[in-house]
Amino acid sequence: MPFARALLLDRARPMTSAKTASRRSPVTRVLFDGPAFPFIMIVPALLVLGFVIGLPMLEALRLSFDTIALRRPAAAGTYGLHNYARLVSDPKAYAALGLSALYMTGTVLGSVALALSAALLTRRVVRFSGLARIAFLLPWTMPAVVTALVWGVMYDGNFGVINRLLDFVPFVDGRNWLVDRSSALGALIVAQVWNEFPVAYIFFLAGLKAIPEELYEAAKIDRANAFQQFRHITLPHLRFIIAVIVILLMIMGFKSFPIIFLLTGGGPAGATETMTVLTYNTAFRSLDFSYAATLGILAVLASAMLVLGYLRLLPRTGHGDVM
Amino acid sequence: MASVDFRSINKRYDALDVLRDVDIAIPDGEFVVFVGPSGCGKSTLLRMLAGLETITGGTISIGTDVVNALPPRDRDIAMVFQNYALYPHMSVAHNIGFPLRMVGTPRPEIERRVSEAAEMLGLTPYLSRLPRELSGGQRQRVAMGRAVVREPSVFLFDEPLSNLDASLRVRMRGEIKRLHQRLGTTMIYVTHDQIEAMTLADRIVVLRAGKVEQIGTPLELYNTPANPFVAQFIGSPSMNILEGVIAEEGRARIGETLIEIGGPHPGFSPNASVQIGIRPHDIALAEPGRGALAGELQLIEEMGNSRLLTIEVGGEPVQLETQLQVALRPGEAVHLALSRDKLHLFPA
Repeated sequence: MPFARALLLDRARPMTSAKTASRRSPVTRVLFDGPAFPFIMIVPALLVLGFVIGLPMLEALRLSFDTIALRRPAAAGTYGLHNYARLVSDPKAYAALGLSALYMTGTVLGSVALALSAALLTRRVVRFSGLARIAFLLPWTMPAVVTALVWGVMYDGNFGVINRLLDFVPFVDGRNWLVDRSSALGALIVAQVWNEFPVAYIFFLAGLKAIPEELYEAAKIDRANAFQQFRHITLPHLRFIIAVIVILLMIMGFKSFPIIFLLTGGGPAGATETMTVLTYNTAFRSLDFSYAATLGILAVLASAMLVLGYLRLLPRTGHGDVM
Repeated sequence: MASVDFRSINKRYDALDVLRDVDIAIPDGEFVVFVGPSGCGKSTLLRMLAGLETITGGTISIGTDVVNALPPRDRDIAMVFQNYALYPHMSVAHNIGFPLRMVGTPRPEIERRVSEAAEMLGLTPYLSRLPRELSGGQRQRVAMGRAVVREPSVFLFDEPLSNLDASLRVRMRGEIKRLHQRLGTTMIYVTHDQIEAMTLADRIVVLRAGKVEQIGTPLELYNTPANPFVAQFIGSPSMNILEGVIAEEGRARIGETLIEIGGPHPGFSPNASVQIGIRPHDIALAEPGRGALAGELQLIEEMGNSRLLTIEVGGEPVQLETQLQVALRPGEAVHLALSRDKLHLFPA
């Protein structure tokens, strides 16, 4: 029997005689019988979290006030607000913030649209339903590195399959997707959407399965057409799930790194240099760790504000709202 | 308003025949109840009329139009479901007005018709509530309001009262009956409860295993059941069926006992096996003697104004309903007299 369960069972057993109680030491009684017991039980988890998440964040905060730049080693230990002063007037940081927002919006919209379509398409599939679901889940199992490499080959201007296919389409010319400033960010978004939409897909599929079929039957008899059924039955039932998925995808999109980094590294000429890539480049290309930490703090603040703002925008949705 | 016509209807799921050659003609304005044990195909028949199930064979017409190929929205029907199927995120008013909004009815008219329907069903105080804030009976009324507001040519009810408790069921039954009297629209009602069928229907269709057993008014089914199944299904407590053999003119033999069966009964020749049906209140306790069936009392169930006795006759249980308050004990030997004019004879 697991230790915690044994403890709980022990607590659940009523203390029938004073004899049993007196056998416990006073310390044990305070720890296990007092109101502090639940809090004591979560202390180990809090310690672990504090160690692996809290400490690095505090260190990043400290670093952002220091001057650890390997090109100016002598400046180390100079504390101050200089990194933040630089940030406020750094056009690259603002551009990166904008690109991150654009990238996030693109991946969220693309993933939700693709996942919802795929879920609607496969919800009523009976034969080969397992196969269909696996097909739509497969991209998720692909490591981002593999995704990046495969899409990199497909986007290639000379021998990529995308341009080859475009040869068959009249009036549309192929281009060097990742090198062309106007298409690079869009191309990255497509690869990212392909990689992450399955997360939303399984949520949506589960949500759709939970809608009682009878409601669609009632709606059909109440003269609702297919679009009206979607608008008045499906969407309201998925509202809560969509809200959760959008938050999840926003966070995933905002901190997305490997696909962008591997495909363009932030180029061409900064056209895809999002917050994460700019932070990386500042730290490991410019070797300015302190300024990179400052950028990291900005990224955390920005994404926290985004999510909080989004949560405020949401209507008060409870679980029971629709169920 | 419209008549409904089922002609040679067949329904098959893979290898399973759910309905076989069903013919039912329902004139305009009639209240028809489909009744039968679960799995008899009554709900399937209703859902085929609604357009929620495909038709394997035959034709269904509403008015003069064959509707086989029409989607539900074009059939001009309204349906009340067993689990109400209310839209959980919409207020009562929005639920009731939904069928009107779907076809772009102007807003003022929707409001007028919704408030009319709510008035009729006593839902006016609840119009802004959500379905989950209502009781079972109120939800059922909302489902009815959603059907009424459309002024359809046919109303379909799929076991609408089976989720309600007994007393509420009786009340809602009355409301449905009143609704029919008030609107005069054709209504088709599916239930497995023969009391609901008897009390509501102008005519009842009894179904078993995908086939129509009998169609008739409640009293026709009660007084002249076409076969032992209908005889036992309609009426409560259920009719007794005894196995016998036709003896000489006007008599039949049950076990060793000769009983009077009146007659003449054309179609029953001497020595033919026969199933003799008799309702529990048409059997009386009797003195031992000629024509009295001997049995052993097994069970006494008090029902207030009467009592139901279960008596074993020749190894088979026979039920008897009596208002006599004589002292009886289980295990006692008793004798039964069957009213000669109340017997129902079926070929065995």
